[in-house]
Amino acid sequence: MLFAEKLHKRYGSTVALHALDLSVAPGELYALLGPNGAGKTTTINCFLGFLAPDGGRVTIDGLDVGQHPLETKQRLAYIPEQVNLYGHFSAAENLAYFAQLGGHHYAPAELRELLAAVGLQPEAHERRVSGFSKGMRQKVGIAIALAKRAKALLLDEPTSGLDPSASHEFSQLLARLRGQGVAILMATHDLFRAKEDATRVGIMRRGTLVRELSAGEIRGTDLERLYLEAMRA
Amino acid sequence: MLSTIMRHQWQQALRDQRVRWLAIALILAGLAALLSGLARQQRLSAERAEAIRADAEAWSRQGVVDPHGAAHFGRTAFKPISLLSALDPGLLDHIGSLVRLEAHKQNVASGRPSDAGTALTAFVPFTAASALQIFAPVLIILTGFGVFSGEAARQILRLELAAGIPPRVLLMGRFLALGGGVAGVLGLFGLAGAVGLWLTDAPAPDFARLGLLLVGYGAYLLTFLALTLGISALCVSARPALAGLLAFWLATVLLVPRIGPSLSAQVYPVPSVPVFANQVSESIDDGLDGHDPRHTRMDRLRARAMAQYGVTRIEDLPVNFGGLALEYGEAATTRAYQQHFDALFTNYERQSRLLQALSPLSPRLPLQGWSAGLAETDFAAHRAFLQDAEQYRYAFVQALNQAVVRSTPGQPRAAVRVADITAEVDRAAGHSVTLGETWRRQWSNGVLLLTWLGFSVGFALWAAGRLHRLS
Repeated sequence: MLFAEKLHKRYGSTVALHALDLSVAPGELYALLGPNGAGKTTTINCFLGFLAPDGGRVTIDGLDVGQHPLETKQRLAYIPEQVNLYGHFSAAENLAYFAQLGGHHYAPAELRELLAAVGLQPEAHERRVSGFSKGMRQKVGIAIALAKRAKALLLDEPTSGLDPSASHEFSQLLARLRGQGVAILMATHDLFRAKEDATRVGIMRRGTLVRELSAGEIRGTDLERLYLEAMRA
Repeated sequence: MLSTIMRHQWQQALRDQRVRWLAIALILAGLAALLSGLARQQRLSAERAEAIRADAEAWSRQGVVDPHGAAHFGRTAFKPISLLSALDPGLLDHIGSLVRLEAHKQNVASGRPSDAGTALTAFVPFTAASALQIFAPVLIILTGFGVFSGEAARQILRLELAAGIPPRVLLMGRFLALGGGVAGVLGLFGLAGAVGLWLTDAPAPDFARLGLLLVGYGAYLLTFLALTLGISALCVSARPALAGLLAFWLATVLLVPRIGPSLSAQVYPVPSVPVFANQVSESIDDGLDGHDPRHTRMDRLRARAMAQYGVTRIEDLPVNFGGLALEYGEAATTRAYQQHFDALFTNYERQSRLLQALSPLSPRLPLQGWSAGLAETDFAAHRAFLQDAEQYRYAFVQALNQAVVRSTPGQPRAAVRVADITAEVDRAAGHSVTLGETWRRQWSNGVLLLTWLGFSVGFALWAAGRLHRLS
């Protein structure tokens, strides 16, 4: 579903991505680990079409991102680290707007169902989001992603700043999406969540994928130790 | 898709307290200016009607007098005040509203409305036109500067673009939504203007003028809207977008329209009033070419009159030579005045063309011409009034001179009832410039306004194509 081949990206003299090969199959959750500046967000931006790679190829569902920027975005949902929404609008209004941008129209009851599905309290559905906590905004962001009924999901540090309970709820949601066959690529610093949720883990350093672990390898190993080794290598 | 974006942008603008109050303030101030302009226009029109009546009465009250004395007694032509001057008074406050008509000279217009006001009111009058030309662009900038740059800074733009919306559709949706707001504001002004025209039984062309006026303002304000969205789409944060847009507003709305006329006046200078009067006086005394003095011309007239009537002495002429001399002198002075006024007006035309040539630097320049032209408060309308007034002056003075010509030669001039003599002279002064005449003068400003709009929309669409850089 998500496929990157020999991906290169430079910012001036800085190499952001170097010969990156990466693929995420339907129903798979690929956790991309690495320190700040390793190239995780750059990779996600290449999938989103916000950055054009200097070399290599990025495809989503077999479509080249550079050649089909709109079609590939329609197959994607995206949740950034900070979900910022329109403060003058309620959670339901924000959800309806972003869903409509993706070509999906929902009845008010369906919007409430989506918001409830991500754990947002009913009394918050019609409240303006300007007063929402980060966790609540994140939930609306997830509802937006769900509303898109996308085949692939891109997550950029989605659990950063969430309390353990919200983080746990989020993991359950991801598991449900995986079960529905959604391919998920998650850039994260959260080793615990990566070990709990991912079916594969990739460790990046200076734009290169230095280590890749399968589901079996993740469960039976100390991910933190492996990560630190990869950083020292 | 487009309707979703438009509706969302509308709701956002309506829910933003700052934008709402700014818009209400602009609309109220503009409509107040329009109503006060309307009241002023009505007062000036009433004063004009009263002055015309008093002038006619004073003229008739002379009764039976010497015709040439009546020509010196003179009359006054009062400039018509268009109803649309309530929207844009243009040059009305700075040029005269009446011309004294008398024998031997073409007076310049006098009675400027600004002469009656305080120095401060004459300096920056607040009118519906200035509300739309100066303050409405600021409102547009304040509403639109953060549309993309603010969203980029808050990362909402990433979510929108990731949703799969084409950036140009996003821009057009917002342009149309905010453009609808612009149309709404103009619609209110248009409605107020149309009601004013309807209540005063204005002719159909005045409604057409109002419509064209609003089209021009629409193009101007949409230009600012497109530029605002374009700049917003290029800036990674709201602050540089706002700073850049306010600098653009300062330069194009305030500075260029101030500097432009000064530059034009430097390039095509016009003589001061005393110098102009002196030049006319020299031409009258020495002839148009400077080598045909008055006494020589008079000798020629004598010889020609005697030859025409087959006599050898002036006293033997069957007509009053004094009348002939007055008639001939009037024609000569009129030609002298005409030559100098033509030169003066040609210079004004050149200044105006140079100002129009500066239009690529400011969309307000063509709008000022378009607006004042359609409101009949520009120099072209003033010139039309002066020409009408002069035509009337010449006709009635020569009609009185003809009465002298017909009086008994060698006798003191007969007293006549001058009102009867001039009754048939068409009092043409005061006809309005036709819509066709205005269109012929203003279509180029209309094209310039549409060019600005086309350029700014093109720029905004180009900038939208680079939106992903902000994500």
